[in-house]
Amino acid sequence: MKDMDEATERVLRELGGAEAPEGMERRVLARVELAAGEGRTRFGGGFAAMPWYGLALAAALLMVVGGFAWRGELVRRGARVRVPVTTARMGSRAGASAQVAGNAVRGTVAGDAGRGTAAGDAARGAAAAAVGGGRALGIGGRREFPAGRRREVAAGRGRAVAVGEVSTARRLSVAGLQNRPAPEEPLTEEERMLLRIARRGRPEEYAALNMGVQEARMSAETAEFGKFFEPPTVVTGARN
Amino acid sequence: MDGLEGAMAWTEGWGLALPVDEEDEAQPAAERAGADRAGSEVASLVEMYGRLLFRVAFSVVRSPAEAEEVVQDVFLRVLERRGRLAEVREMRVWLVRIAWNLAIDRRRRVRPAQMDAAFVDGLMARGVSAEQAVGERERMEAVLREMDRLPRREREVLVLAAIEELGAAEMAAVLGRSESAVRALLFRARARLRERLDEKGGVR
Repeated sequence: MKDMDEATERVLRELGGAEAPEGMERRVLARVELAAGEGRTRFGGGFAAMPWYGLALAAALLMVVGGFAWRGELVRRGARVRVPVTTARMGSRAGASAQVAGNAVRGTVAGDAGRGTAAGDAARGAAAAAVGGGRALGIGGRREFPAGRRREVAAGRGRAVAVGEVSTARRLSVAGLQNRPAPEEPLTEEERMLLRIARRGRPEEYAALNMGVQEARMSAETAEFGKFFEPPTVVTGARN
Repeated sequence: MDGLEGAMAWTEGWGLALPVDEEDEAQPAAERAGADRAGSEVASLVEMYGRLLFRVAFSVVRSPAEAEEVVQDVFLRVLERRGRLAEVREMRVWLVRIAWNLAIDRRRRVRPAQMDAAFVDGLMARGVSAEQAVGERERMEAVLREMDRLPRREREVLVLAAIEELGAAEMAAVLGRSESAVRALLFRARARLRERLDEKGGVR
């Protein structure tokens, strides 16, 4: 008990009263000075040059944000086309699609109430929508799409089918990847050898895998072999 | 900053060459003087508190080399904030707190077992028999092991209390607790450590 108390006190005393190594202050100061010098070199002329660094950082950030915004705009444009085209492919939902298209057209008609041509187009769009969902969507989207996109959509259902098929195929492939287990790894050389041996079932080959057994067998064979070649016994005796 | 001015005068000869643009002739004299002042402030802080910070760090990491690294890191942090040193109200507590946190962080990253073994080696008394040395080593290792098994707050107070220069008020400030809480924790830590050492006979 007393020893343990003494040990505790000694440990605590040594922990709290350790003396710094000789020259520690100078080493610390040298390190700090070095760090200060590194800072000056890194920022090209000292920390006073920090505003330039900040400006460069801000420009880089601006470029990144601009890139994201541009990408978002592209995605937004793409989504406008893709959604109705994909819907148009679904024959079973053609009625619903037509109704949606009709609603869109009605909205357009309300906006273009003063223009007879536009109203006529809208009416034709609504009628077409009632008959065939895909084409109705093509016409209904006419006012909303940019010129290039409009041509693409109006070009026919072939493109719509292609886009629909691509998205379906992608869904299937993703689902397949998620559900399918990883393929088995190929067998190693040793595994293949074991397989060959096991199929033939020859005991000599099994034994060949075990060095101890093999050596015992070899020595037995050698002994057996030697038995036949024993040195001839010398017959000594007088010849009569 | 208690006594900082005096220490600055003492360390005037080897002040730090902090990033002052000497080549820039157009730099305002006031700005240059400010940087000079910051440099000599850091130098004086190293001189005033370096040893205390070393002890604080050593009490946690238990290795002189690692403790010196911690002290360096502390003053690198100070260098980063040298523009606001004047705003620090309790310089000593602030520095001890930085050292304490950095040391705890460092101890997490390095292998404590190796450092403890080296620390125990340093503690071993010379001129004792081999049998006594073995017993002594086992007791020291048991104390360190049981200290590490204490609840964190109790362990921290126990270690900080071992540093004689730190009073209860400073310990409380470093740990962010009241003085009475620190005293209670210290009492509990000692009692628990003794109890555990008694239970196991101190030796694994």
